[in-house]
Amino acid sequence: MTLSESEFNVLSNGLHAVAQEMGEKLIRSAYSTIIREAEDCSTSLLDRDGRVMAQAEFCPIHMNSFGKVFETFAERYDLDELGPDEGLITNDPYSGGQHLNDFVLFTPIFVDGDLTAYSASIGHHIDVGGGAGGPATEATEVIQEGLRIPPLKFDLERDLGDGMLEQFVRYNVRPPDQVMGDVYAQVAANRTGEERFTELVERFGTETLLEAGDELQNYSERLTRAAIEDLPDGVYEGEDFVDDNGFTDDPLRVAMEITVDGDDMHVDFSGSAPQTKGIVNSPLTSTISAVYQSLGFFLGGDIPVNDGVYRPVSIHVPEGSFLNPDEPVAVRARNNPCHRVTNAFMKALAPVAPDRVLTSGHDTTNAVGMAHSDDEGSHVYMEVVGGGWGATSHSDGADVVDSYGGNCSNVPVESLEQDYRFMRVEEYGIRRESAGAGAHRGGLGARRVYRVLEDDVSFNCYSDRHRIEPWGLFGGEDGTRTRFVVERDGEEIVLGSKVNFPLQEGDRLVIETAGAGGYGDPRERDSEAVRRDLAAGFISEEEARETYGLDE
Amino acid sequence: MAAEVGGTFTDLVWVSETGDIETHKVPSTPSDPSTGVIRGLDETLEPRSETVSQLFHGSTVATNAVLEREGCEVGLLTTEGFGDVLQIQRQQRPNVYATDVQKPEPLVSLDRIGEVTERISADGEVLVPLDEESLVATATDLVDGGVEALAVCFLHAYKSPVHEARAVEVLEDRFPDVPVTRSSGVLPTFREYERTSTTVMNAYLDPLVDQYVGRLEDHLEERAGGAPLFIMQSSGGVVPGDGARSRPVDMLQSGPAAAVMGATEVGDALGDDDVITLDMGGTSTDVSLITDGTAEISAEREVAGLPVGVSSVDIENVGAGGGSLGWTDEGGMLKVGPRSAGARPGPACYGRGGTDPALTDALVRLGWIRPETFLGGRMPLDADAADRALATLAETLDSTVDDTAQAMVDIAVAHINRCVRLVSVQRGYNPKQYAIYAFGGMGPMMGALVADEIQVDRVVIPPHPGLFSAVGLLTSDLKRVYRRTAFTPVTASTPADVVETVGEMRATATAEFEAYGYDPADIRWETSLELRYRGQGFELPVRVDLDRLESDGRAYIEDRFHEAHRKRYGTAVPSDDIELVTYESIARVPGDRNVLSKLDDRTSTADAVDTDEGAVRFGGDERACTFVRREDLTPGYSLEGLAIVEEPTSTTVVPPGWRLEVGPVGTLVLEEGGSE
Repeated sequence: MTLSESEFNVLSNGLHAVAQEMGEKLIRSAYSTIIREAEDCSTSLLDRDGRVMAQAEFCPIHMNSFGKVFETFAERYDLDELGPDEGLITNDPYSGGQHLNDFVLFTPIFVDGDLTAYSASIGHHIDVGGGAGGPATEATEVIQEGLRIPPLKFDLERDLGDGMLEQFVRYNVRPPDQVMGDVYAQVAANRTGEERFTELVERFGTETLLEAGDELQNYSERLTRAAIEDLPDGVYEGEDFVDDNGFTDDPLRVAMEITVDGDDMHVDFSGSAPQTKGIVNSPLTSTISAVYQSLGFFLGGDIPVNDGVYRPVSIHVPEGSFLNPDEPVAVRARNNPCHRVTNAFMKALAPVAPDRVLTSGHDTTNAVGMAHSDDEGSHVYMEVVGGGWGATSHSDGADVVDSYGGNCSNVPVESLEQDYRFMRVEEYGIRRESAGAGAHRGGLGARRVYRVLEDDVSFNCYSDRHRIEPWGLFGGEDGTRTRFVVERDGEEIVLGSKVNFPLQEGDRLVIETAGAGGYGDPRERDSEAVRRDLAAGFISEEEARETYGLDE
Repeated sequence: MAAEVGGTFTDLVWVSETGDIETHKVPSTPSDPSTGVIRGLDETLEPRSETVSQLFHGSTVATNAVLEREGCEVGLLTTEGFGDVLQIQRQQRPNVYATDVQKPEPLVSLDRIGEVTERISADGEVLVPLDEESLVATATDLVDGGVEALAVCFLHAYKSPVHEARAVEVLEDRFPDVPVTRSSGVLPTFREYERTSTTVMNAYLDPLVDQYVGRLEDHLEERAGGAPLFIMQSSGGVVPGDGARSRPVDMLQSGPAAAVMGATEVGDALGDDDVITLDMGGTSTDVSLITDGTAEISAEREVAGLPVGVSSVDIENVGAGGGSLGWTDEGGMLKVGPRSAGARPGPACYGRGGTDPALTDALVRLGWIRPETFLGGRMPLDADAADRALATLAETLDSTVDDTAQAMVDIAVAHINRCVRLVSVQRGYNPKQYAIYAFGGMGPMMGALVADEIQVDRVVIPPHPGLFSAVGLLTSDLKRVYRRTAFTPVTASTPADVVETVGEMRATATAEFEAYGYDPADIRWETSLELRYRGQGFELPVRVDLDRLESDGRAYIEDRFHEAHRKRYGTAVPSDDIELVTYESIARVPGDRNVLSKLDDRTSTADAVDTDEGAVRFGGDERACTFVRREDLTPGYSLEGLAIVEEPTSTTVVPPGWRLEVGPVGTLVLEEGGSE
């Protein structure tokens, strides 16, 4: 490397700061609660070949997909012809996208007239039309899930505002001002990336900067290879299951075989369930991104995740499986199988890397949505209700956080009650006695209760871990499953995990998310920690006594 | 007298009516910082048999209490169904790819949180009346369980404080010895986690600040006939002791804010309205921005990962200081900081057993710090130990000792530079138009290097850079910030409504200032409105002139907001649907501006300054360098770089191509454009 020690440090930090600032600009200027409060969005800087140089700290499932979706544009367009006012946009799962809500936006960065890099952002949009305000769980084809934006090259000046792209989107989504406001926030984020990258070029020169981008990828590759090489050569198998497809009760298997050969890793999904009716299919981009995110966790958080992390890994996903479905099956709940990919990855490597793996957490995106129309128009609410995080060999699982693929914040109750007048939150707390016991216990789930204040409110949600408990490891016990219940006139209506359900005024909608599995024998848990959990009400006296063996 | 308590030292500056000045440094006493202050006060005054008429005080006592978890046992009373808000926080993982997720530890554990039956709607209507019986029963359990202060935070209390206000009445009546903080008093703005966190932090600091202020006041009573005590707030103004007691949370970040205020005053004296401050010490660097003579203020910050909604001087911190260690990670990347050698063992050159190379060791190796003149010669350094520590690191990097030392300096400069960009570029300001004011023990060494990186051509080193926070205290205004959330579409609000609301807030302020013994006629006012496009989640503050508002009407607010949005995000939205979210009203009584002119205590009139010609390594080469002592320099003196100015608490580097001139009020002014 011709870069000096200080240049490498300075420039790699500089590139990450740009990606992070892009994300902050996106959140701060966004309109919808799902982006501005929950932060369901991601930003990255790519080199001119579409390889991720630096990503911000947002949703892993987004961030590790930029390279893949870029390939589609590179195949479809001669990117050398791209102009400075043009951008690339898509949300299509069968063109390298994920699910329709995620709009991917690339804009080119020119230096002295040469296309040198790309700004990239993904925003999860609150609504994209389709059969329900929120996930349409009855959908079987992607066309029923909403507006499909093909991979388009467009002109930011001409096609937004009164232009064709914006008008087309506006006529196909329920809250057009929120969706387009968030698109503008993405544009602002990308522009920020362009400005900051250009400033770095001015200070350090294109060649030095791109060399730093290359070296940063090589650096991550070295660290990833070192971690793989630490594993004994061999073939490791793991599996986990998505509860069901929302139509039948059959669990859907994610089968994984990991081959470690020196510092290379091959991941094979042969044996996974075939593509299925409903929305729990995962497009190829998402499945691959889920493998990369698993590797990111396996590396433990101190290594910058970029294209270099991906290079030691080859992936085979059988066509026609629910992890690589044929067009046009529906994919809205792709996060369910994607989380199982990470679960299977951890299970497979647990025997050989017990200090690097996690037990199963609630491990789904509890995308709780409600929609209601009144004189002012359509109101679509959605937020991700977190749950228990897995335990490790050296730590308890965290209580109430988002799962692997995202890192969504909650929406303050005081914010959502101003924005949505058709419901109110009556309870929001940690769900007691939901964690799996262990030497390190699993994280606890959440309990959130909504009171519905109007008739004709639809509850639209997809979730998982309603049938199959989050599992523990090495003697740790399983956590408690997620459940959704509607309390109406003294009756309890238990809902499925993929659901569109009409709510009435007076209903109480109770969301209880899963606690995580424990790690290691509960009897080996530090008795102080058991007492602390007991005092907080996190475990029952019986559990303290019977499971943990606390005597007194 | 100004006394500033830092992590390692307590700095004191005494200025007399006649312009005599005395500076003093004593070790801080972390277990009870007031002991160090009292000792420093006595040691400064006794030899002169003088007294003080006013004590200005800045202290890390509040921040440290949060960092070290040394506040009191707080009990939190909150709305039924929402008792876990501090534990859940915002649901996010601090490091997105970490497997062992650790949320910041809240200040109150769950067994000290009680839920109370009551509920207010988003519109401020009472949905469930306050159940006073359940309130008292819950509070009694908490107090019986050993709680020393109570915090009350109910949902939507920013909209209607009726339940909180009533709860406080009931609790104060029932538990007269237990201080009670209510959220609508401390931070009447929406977002329950952030408001609860702030309220709890206020309660957490209450007894501690009360006792701390009390001890200082007692000492002043005894030693200085009851001279008044003024305490620096995070917002960059001082309040009397009682003011600090009434809102302890405002005492966070008291010290760093004082230095920024000092820079504002020195900037005023030199005609620099736009200033980047760079305060670099042993473990970290604080950076802030002064625009048009006013320090940027932010409404929220984090302490130990916990959000706290107090108006604070917008200071960003980066872990780069003299003690920051150089090391390589697993992938072979050289890093500097945030690991620090601390005070013990300190950098290797301190000779206290440190074997890892700190930034100070690199500077010794390069020759910028001379072992024999460090701290005015009071603490000779071990250059060989510095070399040994650097040699080990150089070997890992397969590099030379000199290149490794230079690389550490370059990386530290880059850390500071990113921090500068954070407070400037990322907030929509162009740093090239600013001057850098560099202080702290290490700031004057790095100031011009940072300036080169961001293309700033003017650097000012204020007098007494090593104890500049204390200097800043002496010039401070009496100041208090009042905030109130009231969601109103700008279209629906008339200028008269705004004027009325601000009038109510000013009445509160006036009453408070009168209680401190000030004439309301001396109060200067500032008003900001925090606005957003309806539908957005974050507000932008816009300073408004109430007279302009009354004459120009609504369009005045709208134009100001579009402009602010464009500046911050690069775009304005073509919408008139603007929402007013929060009012901020600032009351201030200006401090003593004459202090500054007294700070330049140099009496030397020598025509010739003793110079010492030497050599240092700079930018990879060995170069000739002129060394001078700051105390020898008189106004009008100038010098071309490469030169180094030494003084007991700091060292200033004038790089090649820069020219140094001695400026007004004892400053050193460095400008680019000297001979290369």
